[in-house]
Amino acid sequence: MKKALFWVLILVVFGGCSFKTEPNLWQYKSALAFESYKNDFLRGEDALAKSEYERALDLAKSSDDLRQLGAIYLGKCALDLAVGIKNECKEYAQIDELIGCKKLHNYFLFLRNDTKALQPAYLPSRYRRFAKALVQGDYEAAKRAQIDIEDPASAMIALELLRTHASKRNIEVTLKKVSFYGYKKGVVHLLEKLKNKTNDIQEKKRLEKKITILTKE
Amino acid sequence: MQYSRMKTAVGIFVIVFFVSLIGATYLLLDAKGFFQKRYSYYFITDTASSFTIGMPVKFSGFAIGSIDKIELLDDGHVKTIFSITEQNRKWINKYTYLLLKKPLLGSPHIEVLASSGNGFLKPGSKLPIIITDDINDLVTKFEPVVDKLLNIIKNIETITNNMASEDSPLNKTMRNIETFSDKLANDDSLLTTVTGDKKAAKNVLASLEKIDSILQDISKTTKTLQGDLVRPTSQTIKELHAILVDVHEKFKTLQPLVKSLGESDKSVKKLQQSVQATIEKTDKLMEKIDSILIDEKNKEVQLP
Repeated sequence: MKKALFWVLILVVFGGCSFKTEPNLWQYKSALAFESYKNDFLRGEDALAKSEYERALDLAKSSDDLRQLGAIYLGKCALDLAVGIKNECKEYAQIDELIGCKKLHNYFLFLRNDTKALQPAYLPSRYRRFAKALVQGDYEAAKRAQIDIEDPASAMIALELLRTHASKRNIEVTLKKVSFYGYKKGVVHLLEKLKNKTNDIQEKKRLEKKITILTKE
Repeated sequence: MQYSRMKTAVGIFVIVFFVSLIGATYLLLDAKGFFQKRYSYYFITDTASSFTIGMPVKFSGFAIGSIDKIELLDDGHVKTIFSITEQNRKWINKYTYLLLKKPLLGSPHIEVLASSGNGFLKPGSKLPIIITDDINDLVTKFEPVVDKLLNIIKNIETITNNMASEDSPLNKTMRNIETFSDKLANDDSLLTTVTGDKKAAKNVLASLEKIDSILQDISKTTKTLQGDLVRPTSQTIKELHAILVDVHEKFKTLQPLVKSLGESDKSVKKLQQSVQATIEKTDKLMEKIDSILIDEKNKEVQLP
């Protein structure tokens, strides 16, 4: 009797520690695939990025809950914006009404620089101070807030949203962050941006040389 | 009289035969676009080695023209002139570019990559050309696959070394589990608690503390495995998977030719099947790794 009880206890204790398959595995997998897409895309590994993005989309389409799908569309839109690719988030715009999520809707407005309707409180916390400054039209505060954004991809998105108001320092600080992470596509885009911003011919040549080195096959 | 009628009949037959022959030839040539006006364009390459006069120019698999002339220019480049039939002229516009395809099996041809509705390009204009070499591409693609495989083996070695090491978190955990099991087996106070003896409660609590420490160790082990070993391996497998999918796509284009070769070309078929099998395996492996890497916090897409 004692022996049986001992083994039951052992089974209960160690059974509890064992792995359990989540029923919403699609959601985890989709988020993981999107994370891989983000890294591959920013590193310039386009073939891998494409495959991961399609995987994330396929998995997100497993459920009636379209929030995941919307977040993926918006994420792609944001990353395109970050590296200077024109994207009007049309895919998300088509399902925005169906989702009805304030968080995603405000992120969408944020990417479109629609400061009139934007409610910064619904944005991810790292953007709030920056978005608030944008809504108030205080570009000096926005520039300071952009520099304080730690995440390199987010810093790039904020930099693009500053448009012509972005200073050379904004670009340089962002470039440093992006370079540290090895996000080649972002680095090349920021070097181009910096080249266009500077008036010094020598500096322009130096930057051009760097771009050539990075983009040469 | 009868002979004369026979001669007339033969004469009529010969005339009808030749008229029919000429008519059929005309219709055939007309259908092939022989009488259609042709428009010439050219492209410049470094070498003429891949081109021959008469080489077809195809669009979506249909022959829409052919190479008429190849000439060596004074600067060492090669000018290749090709012509397109009138009805297919719409595919040659300012957005068109050419692709020289040299498949693993079958004869090389020029593929026109374009869309209609962009107007016509003036005859005699230059078109850009991209030269691909499927055989060499395949070899080039296989080189990184071998590198990746070596990398995977290296990673597996690291995993094994890590696990075998005396100080590895996994070994420590195993030792802890061993101690805990010994404790449970030797000390029957826990069991007496279950059977109703309240005095042994302190011992039970002590055992639970031990479980906590074990769980922490397990968590450390998993974290180390995920961070240092599983993630790079996962990335490597993903890269290998992408390359294999690409190679598989290339094999798909060979399918009709492989079929036409019949049973004699079993080696190509076998290679294709093994690539397909490896893709499926890497797919499953990726799924397993994804399951290991799952983090409770990461079920939602993190917006960049």
